[in-house]
Amino acid sequence: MPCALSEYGYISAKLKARISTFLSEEALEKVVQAKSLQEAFLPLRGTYLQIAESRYAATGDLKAVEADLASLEFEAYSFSISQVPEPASSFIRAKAREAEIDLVKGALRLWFDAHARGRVIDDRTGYLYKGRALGSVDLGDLVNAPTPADAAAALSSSPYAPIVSKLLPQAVAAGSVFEMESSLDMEYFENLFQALARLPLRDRKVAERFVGIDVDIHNITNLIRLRSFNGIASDRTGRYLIDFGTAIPASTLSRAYESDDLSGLAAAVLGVRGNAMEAGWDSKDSKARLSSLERMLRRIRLVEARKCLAGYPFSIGIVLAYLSLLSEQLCSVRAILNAKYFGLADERLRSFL
Amino acid sequence: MMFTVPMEFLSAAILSKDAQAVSDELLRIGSLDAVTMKSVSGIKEGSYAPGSQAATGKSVEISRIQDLRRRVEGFLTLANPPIQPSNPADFSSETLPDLEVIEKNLGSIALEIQNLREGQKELQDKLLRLEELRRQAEAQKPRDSVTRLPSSASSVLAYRRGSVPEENSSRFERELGALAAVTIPAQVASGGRMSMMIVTMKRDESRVQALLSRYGWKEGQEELSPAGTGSEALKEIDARRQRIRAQIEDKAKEFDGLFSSRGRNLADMWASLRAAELSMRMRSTFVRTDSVSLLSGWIPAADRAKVEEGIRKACTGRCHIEWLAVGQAAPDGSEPPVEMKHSKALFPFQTLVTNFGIPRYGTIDPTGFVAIAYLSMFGLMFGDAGHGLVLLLVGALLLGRAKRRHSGDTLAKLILYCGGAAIVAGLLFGSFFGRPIVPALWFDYHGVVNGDPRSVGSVRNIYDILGITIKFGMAVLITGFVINWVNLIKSRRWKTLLFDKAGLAGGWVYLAGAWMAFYFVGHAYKALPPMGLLLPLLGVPTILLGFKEPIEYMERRKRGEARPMTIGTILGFLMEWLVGTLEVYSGYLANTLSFMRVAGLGIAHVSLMTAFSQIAAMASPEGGLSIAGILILVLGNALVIALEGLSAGIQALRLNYYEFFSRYFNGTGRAYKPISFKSAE
Repeated sequence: MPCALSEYGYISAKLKARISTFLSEEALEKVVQAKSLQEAFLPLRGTYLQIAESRYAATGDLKAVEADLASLEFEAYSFSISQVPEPASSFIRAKAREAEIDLVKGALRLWFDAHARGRVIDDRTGYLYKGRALGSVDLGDLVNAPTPADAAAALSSSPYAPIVSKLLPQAVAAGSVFEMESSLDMEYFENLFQALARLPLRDRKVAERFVGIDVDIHNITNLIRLRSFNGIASDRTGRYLIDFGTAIPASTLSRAYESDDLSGLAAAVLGVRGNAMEAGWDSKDSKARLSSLERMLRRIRLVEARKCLAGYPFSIGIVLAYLSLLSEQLCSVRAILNAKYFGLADERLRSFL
Repeated sequence: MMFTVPMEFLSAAILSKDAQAVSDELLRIGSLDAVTMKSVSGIKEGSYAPGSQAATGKSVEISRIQDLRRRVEGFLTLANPPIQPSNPADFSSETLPDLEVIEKNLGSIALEIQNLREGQKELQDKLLRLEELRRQAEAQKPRDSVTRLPSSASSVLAYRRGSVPEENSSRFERELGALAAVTIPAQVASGGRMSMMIVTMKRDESRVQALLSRYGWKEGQEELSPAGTGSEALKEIDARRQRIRAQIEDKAKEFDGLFSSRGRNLADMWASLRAAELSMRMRSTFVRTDSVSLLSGWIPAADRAKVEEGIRKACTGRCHIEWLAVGQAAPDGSEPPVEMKHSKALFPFQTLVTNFGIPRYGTIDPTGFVAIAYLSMFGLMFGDAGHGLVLLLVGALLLGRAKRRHSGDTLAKLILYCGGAAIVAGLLFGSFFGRPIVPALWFDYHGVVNGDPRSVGSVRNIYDILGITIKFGMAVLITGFVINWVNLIKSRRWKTLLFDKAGLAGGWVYLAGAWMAFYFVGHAYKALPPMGLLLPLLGVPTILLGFKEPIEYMERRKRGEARPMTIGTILGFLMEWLVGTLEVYSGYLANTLSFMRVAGLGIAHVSLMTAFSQIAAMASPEGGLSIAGILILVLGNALVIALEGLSAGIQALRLNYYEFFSRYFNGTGRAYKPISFKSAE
């Protein structure tokens, strides 16, 4: 009978070795301090992000670099899925769908821009994901589909076709893809919770902590988007929030949203630390505060990942820690490079990290 | 050199107005490991704050210069091939480079690069749009010729043939080019109109329609031939892709051109910043009164005359210089720094030593011993001339690459040496890629392991090989003892020399124990030496080991650092002695037996090669070697070289660090780091 050591021994060692190649704080700081975009790529030389530097040197195209960084994340998921046993493998596969859905959402937004808004998208279609993560789905076909029905047909080999088929026409009519994207997210989380329930107890406990934070981040992000749509009534917010055992109850979020009581929300998320953070908030803008909260949650996820790395090594925790750390680092690198491209001041950039 | 390089402490008082010249001279000589003597009485502390350019009256942060220098370094590495910086020694550090101008220059280079990148991006965008068009045109090509026209409803491409007024044609083409579209104009215009075929994406239909009506597009009457339009479009797209690729290559050349025109300027910029930075660093170690500066630091004794002459020349004799002889403590109480001087060829082994720690000043430099021990161990574990040859080639290739890239070559050299050691050992054991092609100069390792030795000699079985490695280990450990004794004698630590477990008492126990063990083995594991011999041989040194703690206690007591003696103190001595003795006996036995791993890995090497030879023979039932057999041998050899090479390298290092170094190595030294124009950082 396989034991945790035989199941996770190799992947644990392998992923820890990979984590050791991640950019250090000092290296990341060098990227932040670079005076121009070109110089920001120099500290990436000789690191696992060398591909970004080479791509930029060859094309001068930041979007192409971002596409490469996204591929790195997909490769990390594919590798993890292939190395962990069932049912952990299914859980990682379910988690990988988050990135998959992001790609589909991106392609749907392009379709929406081109077909519903009549915008030119030719400068963006070149970066559509062309790897194997989406199976036989061709995002190019989706973007070029003349009608919503054809768009849904382009996704027919994926689990997203029914949602797109039902909600894309409504999105066109309403002039917003928010509902459809929320439904795709809901589908992702439902699938994730099912995979989570199948995990053995030790793995499930570890995974629940990560999923809880992911749910919180998702809810906060959605609240930020809801703030941007003034038209959405506060009694409808509940529909877009996810209730999950270890995270902040959706009802708490809804109430906080309705009453604008963000200090209560921060306290709920961060415990006592929430009040300290509230005291440090300069901005009175609720959207800005929600963004800070989201960043705080991302930091909590990093702390959780580091705790996992320092703890018991033969569980799914190592894999989740690796994926979280990689995702966070890639997200930071993307943010820094874009900030350099747009000439954002260092201090402003740091406030986003 | 057997010992670490002897150092002398320099103190020099110079006029503050000569400080810059002296600093430059010291940087040129590059021997001063500077010490800031803040506690010297009579000197105004802090009157020359580190990092400031007080002499020029400007307060410039050294960090700003460093940042700029690093920024220039980044640009130097962007060039292909990287630009070699100029020599900082050729640049005057007296006048600070104009940082504003440098920043402006760098900013303008960054801007030029950004513009080039923007140009690249534009071309890349065009290329991507054409790639998409091509993909779609290619995807529908087979269907077109059979069932539909290319502009049929299911296609995502729209094909049109028609004309625009000749004066509008170029603007029309340009604006259409901003979309994923391609225009294929006719060779000649007729009736003031330019005929053309255009291929666009249907998703851009509204934009395309707007352009068509704006530029007076008139649809052509002729029928579009399915196969014709598709292949025509593909041909045009391919031609355009080729043109864009050529333009992208031109941009790359432009990028290289940017650096070839600015290269010298950047190289000089780097050198002037570096010179200023080093000068500020050197002068930040000086302390001064209003008119006098005091500099101090460690200098290798061999450089004393050169440094003294340099200082006197720089300040035209207006100085006072004092030297503290070797062995005297520096005024600030600092230990002399450690430099190990030996042949450059031994540098990879010095790196192995310094990775573990810096030896204490004045002790034996272990580099040479480590080189001999490491290579002997590696050879014994990886004794195959063929495999050694492969390592030698790999090392040579890596060395060549390192030289081309101006990067570190320590690992390459180490692999080269290991390859050499494996070749020598392979000749001694008569092994070439696991085959007995060459006669063994010492003994037939393969034959001994496989129970069929071809050579005649004392090594007949695996136990003999184990015996060799144990004796080898003893030689290594005894060398460690001797090095330790020499170090202790040199530093006059007599008590430690006599009573420490790595001192004479410990060595006595070890040698006596070894003799006993050989006696026992020599008597077929049936007899120990007579008791009358055992007592003086082991009893006396064991008792001597117990003297160390009480003697140290007495000394502490004399200095008033220890409490009066009680029963507890005596029991403490007893416990220390008992535990120490146990540690000595079990530790030395373990240290010696640890060397059996050398035999273990050597035997594993032979066994693996034998196994692959047998598998290859099984894959060649008709005798000789079949293709499958050759493949198995090649893969087997590659696997053994990679795995065993790595294992042997790591185990040899481990034996050096934990068995050899633990006898004598004290890694409390501080590396000698002079400030020089040649300093790496």
